[in-house]
Amino acid sequence: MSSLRPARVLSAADKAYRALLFVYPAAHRREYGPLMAELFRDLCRDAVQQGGTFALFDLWLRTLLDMAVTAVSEHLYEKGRTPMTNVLHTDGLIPALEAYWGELTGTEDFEVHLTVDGQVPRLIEGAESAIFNAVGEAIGNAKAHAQANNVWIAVRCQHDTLEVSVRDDGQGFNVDRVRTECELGGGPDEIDMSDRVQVAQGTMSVQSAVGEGTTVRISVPVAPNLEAKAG
Amino acid sequence: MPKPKDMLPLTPAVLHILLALGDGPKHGYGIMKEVETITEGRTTMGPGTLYGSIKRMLASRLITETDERPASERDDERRRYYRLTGFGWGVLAAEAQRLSRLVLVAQRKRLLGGAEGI
Repeated sequence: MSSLRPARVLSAADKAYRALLFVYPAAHRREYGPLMAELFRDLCRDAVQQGGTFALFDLWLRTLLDMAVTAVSEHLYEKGRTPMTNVLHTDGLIPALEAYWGELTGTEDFEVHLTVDGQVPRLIEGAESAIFNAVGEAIGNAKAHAQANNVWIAVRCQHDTLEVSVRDDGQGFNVDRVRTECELGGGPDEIDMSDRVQVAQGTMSVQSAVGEGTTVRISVPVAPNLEAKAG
Repeated sequence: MPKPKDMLPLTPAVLHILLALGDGPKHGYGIMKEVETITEGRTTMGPGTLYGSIKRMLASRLITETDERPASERDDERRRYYRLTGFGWGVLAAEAQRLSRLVLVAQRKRLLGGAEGI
């Protein structure tokens, strides 16, 4: 049994935790910072009861390593996000599409128009990123192949269904021929877009004809994808 | 919504947290102590690993914060308690099935229960 008094243990724990924040400074800014500090105090009490000062020092070293690994892991995770995915993550689909529209406006050979009709709720992260990425693919295809003057992104939420369409006034293409090429391993990314949308239990369709532009329609049921906390 | 098997295989930290919550809501310290018990002290998680995993598990809907509290003499109002969601139960069950299939393979290859010649 240790001779360290509980008050001294807690005081030492708080000082030790503050020292650990040198390797993981973001911890004190995070929502879980105070919870981690409280947990560290609990662990210090346990360590002192079981093994005294030496156990306390051992705990401090192990926590130092743990927090360093967590800091590196979070840093790499944040670096992997683009500014756009950060907007998507924190603010949702519509702000991310608005930011994307802002990025495209004035920088592309075509004009981009964005309309939003209806109240669009926050969806779970997987659904929002699936829709956003599918829109990005459609715009990318329009950029690469369509030679369009205009691209319209329309978002509409009605009757528990979210519909997103991406339409261009470009040269269009033979959908059946391209679909066959995709299945044989070449051609644009229609199949990838469809896979993305299926993550959100949605459907996707592509309408196009030579000389008549292209419309990509994505339809996602809202209810299974709602952000509302599970009961 | 992803299916439970889409989340597999789980990292050891996530698996142990799900197992720890299998018998009721717990706060962070309780989860950590339960993991130590389950693994007979062989697995310990630091505060960073624990709350980093909890954050991601909340985002993936494997667990949720809960207002359910244990009996008042064991409750601690400062703590946040977590519990498994229905989806979390499904993922835990799917991972347990996957691991049990691996155990069957190991048994067929005589790697468990005192293999001959070792």
